[in-house]
Amino acid sequence: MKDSEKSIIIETHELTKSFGGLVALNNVNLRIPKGELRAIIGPNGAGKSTLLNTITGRLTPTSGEIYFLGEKITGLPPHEIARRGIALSLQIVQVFPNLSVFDNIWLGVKMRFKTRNPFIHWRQLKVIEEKVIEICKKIGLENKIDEIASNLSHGDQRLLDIAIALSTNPKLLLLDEPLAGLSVKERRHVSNLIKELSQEKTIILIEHDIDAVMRLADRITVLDRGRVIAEGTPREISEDRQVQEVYIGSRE
Amino acid sequence: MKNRLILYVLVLVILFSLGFTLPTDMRSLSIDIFIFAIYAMAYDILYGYTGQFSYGQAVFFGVAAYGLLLPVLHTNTNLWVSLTIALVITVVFGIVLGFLAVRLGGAYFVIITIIFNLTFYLIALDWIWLTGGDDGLTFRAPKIEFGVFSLSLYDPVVTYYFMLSFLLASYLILKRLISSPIGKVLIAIRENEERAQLIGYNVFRYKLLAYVVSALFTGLSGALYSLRTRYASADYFNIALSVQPIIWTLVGGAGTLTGPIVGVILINPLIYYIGVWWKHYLSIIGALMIFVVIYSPKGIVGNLINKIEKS
Repeated sequence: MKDSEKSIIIETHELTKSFGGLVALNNVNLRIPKGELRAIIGPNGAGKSTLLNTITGRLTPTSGEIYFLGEKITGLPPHEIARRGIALSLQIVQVFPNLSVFDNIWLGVKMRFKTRNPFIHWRQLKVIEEKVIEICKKIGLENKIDEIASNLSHGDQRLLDIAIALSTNPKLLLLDEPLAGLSVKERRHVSNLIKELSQEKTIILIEHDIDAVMRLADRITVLDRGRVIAEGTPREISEDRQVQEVYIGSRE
Repeated sequence: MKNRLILYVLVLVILFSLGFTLPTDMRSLSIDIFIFAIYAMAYDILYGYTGQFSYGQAVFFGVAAYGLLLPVLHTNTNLWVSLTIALVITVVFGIVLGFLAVRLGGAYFVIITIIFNLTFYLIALDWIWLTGGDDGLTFRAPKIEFGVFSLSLYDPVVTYYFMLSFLLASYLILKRLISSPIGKVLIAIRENEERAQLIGYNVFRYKLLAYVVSALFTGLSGALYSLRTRYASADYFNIALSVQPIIWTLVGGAGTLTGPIVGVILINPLIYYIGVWWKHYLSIIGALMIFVVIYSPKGIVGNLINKIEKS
């Protein structure tokens, strides 16, 4: 058992978050091993986004603990959690609107490097520049490197958002509905990208597109009204009666 | 790159030669412009680069003005020591007030900076034993000493070059700051604070840094101004003095560093020449503001940069 203990990247223990009377997360226990692509599904209001927001420190849990690589991160401020290696791409695209694609990614890459001289000219940091270009290529934005982020299409902004998250070289990548609002072609591109990324990173994916989830996920956790109601491989989940009732709608 | 170098050299040559060719009144105006240009740049670091809309920078202007005046007046300290004292005090105030204000975002930040400003103004009016209140205090400007050499600030030509060198040094330092990784992070915070935090930047610390740097250079401007007028009064905390950098920055172009200087160059002569014979001169500035906001919302320099980038 010890080996599996070691390889758990993130674990939540009895995690509860309530807003006044509304319990958004109710004793959620999650254990996600390194390298897994875990999808979290559930109907609207199930607490999926709340879960990600709690993990990243944007919300403080009402009770319960979160462990990242065996260390407690409950209650740490968001930037501390980010520095430890958790990156988030939000449901609503969050980029630096008036900066170029290059600058957007540069800011994330810079996070990884300590500069001894704070007054150095940013252009002198060649290592960072190389990394930025590498990430742009990987994500498929290399032709738009000098474009201003707010001029990009929604699909490209989504890619940029993921690129910013990646630029910090996280150990755990959280993706909140990355396929929402994309065209069929963009969907294919982004889901292929997620597939590719899952080879090297642990990913938690929230997504409503069930086909994509079934194709991408190693394991699926189903949330309903803040509770985990099922967890298993895509096949197990698709055969689970309770899940069918809650999520897909009960058949009479 | 080459063009830019030529431009820099040209500007330097003009500024240098103006020192001994300008008529007295215009030289005097230029000295004011140099001093206020530092104030304007300091504001740009805070608002233009970090997006913190302060309405109370006069606090630091006044604190530094007295920070220089009081040591000279009471203990007759030399220029460099009193200037250092003024700046250290300003930084301390910057850290304390920044610590309270910077956590607040948006309108709350604006309001708390107004409150600071009014508080300091009223205290300065009230504590006559310290500040001289509304009448203020005058002092004899200390000599500028470099080892055995010394120059007198009572010579306007000396004052011209003295203030010009402070402006150039401030420009170089701030230019360097905004071109450094720190500057980029400040811009990122202006653009999307939440995103900056989510990729691991301690937003509070960077905002505080911008606030303190801005306080420091506002203070430099205030200290130099009291040195030039050999005087300070509660009016150096007047909230009208907090509005000025906002106007300079918006007219010239926020987030451009040179823009706010252009703002000073455009607006201060208006006050200087028209304000003397027409008491409603502020309406011209109002009209100018409206004109710029409608036709060139990024400010004059901001608009220029946009055009150059597009062509």
